[in-house]
Amino acid sequence: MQLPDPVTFAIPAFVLLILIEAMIGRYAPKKSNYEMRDSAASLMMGLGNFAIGLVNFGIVGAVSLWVYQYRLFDIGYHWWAFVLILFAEDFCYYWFHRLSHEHRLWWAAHINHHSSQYYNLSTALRQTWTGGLIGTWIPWLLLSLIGFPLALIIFQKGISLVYQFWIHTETIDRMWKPVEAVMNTPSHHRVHHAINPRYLDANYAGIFIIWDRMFGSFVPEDKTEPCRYGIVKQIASFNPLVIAFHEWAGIVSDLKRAKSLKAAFFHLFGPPGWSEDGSRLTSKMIKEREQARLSQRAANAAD
Amino acid sequence: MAIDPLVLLPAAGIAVLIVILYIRLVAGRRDARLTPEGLTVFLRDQEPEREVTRFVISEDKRYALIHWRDGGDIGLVRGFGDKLVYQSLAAEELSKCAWHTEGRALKIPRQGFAFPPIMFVPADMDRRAIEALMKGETDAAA
Repeated sequence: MQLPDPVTFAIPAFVLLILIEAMIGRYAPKKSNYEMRDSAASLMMGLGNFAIGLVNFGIVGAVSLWVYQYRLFDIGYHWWAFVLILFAEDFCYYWFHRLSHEHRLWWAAHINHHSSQYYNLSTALRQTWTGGLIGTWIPWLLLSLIGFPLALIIFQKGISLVYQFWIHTETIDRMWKPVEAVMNTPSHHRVHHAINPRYLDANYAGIFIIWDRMFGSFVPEDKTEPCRYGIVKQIASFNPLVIAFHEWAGIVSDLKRAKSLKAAFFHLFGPPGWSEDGSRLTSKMIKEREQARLSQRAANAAD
Repeated sequence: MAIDPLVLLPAAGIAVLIVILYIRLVAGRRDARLTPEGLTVFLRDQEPEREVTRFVISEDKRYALIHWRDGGDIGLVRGFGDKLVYQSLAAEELSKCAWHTEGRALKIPRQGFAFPPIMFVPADMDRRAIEALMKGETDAAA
């Protein structure tokens, strides 16, 4: 069965929505903030991802088909298969995304998506160039093993990517409560892109926020603490090559300086921010430090 | 229905160029101009536990050097778009900084892959303060 590629068909809508949002920013800067060089970098990252994806597709497809030979069920293209894969694919996405934030090797491939201090629809297109090369597609092999046909998996991945485009915006505030309870929304995803200590490592959802609620990573947006976007150590370059490879350069530099095999292992697979001498901070350490600071402040105020 | 990648890729490239041009027209290039007030707020978010003893803002208002009470490193804040980026310059990096253009501009070299070098041109009255800051003196006149 041949299914359409939702991303290809969504590109005109992507373009149109970016044009509208940028125009909104001209008249309501608090609702949308665009900067030409930042958006150009994001769009070039998106274009690069698209081109590299065409090359990667053959490899990923071949591996998926190999796994599919050992499938547990013959699911086919029944109507319920489309419903089932909506949730199954989103479950795989959640774990891919969470692992991409918790382990430096995959973080190096994902960091570029978070590297902008701006949060607008063009940020959604700031996609990885290196993810495919280091196997960030592995979680989706679970779907082939279960028995979902490759075409269905690709179709659903496209749907997920299209869904996640529109949530990269400050133009939409909060949505209807039942929607906020179940779906990933602009509000939830703003938290995900924020670097305020309380917002770090939260809301990994793709389409459904239920996974974050289920696995304890959900943090609601707090109006009293506006999101500050980007990465903990912000970069100062709009160059797509720097955006794509700066964390890889950091890994190479750390590996060269590693004093032990254990340290080298942690530089690759430990949490982002891990360092041998504790001179850098992981998300967990930043959260703990902030908690301690707030407790101290509260204690001082009580005295 | 599949579209040939040889058509799709150039079409996407053209769409990207059009969108960039449009954003150039609508939003344009934005550059932050550092002010003492803005810098104070930024540093409070960035390094909430540290106390600033003093800072020097460059003449073009694009950069600032920060001296912390706890010493050790010097902070560098640079405008990036209309946002700010913070860097910490340790002794090793400070030793590589050098005055250029007859002592008018301090060149701060590239730090890692993602922080290009900058030319920090201070106001005349701030030059001595920067020299003291680089040497780690805390009591020089600002």
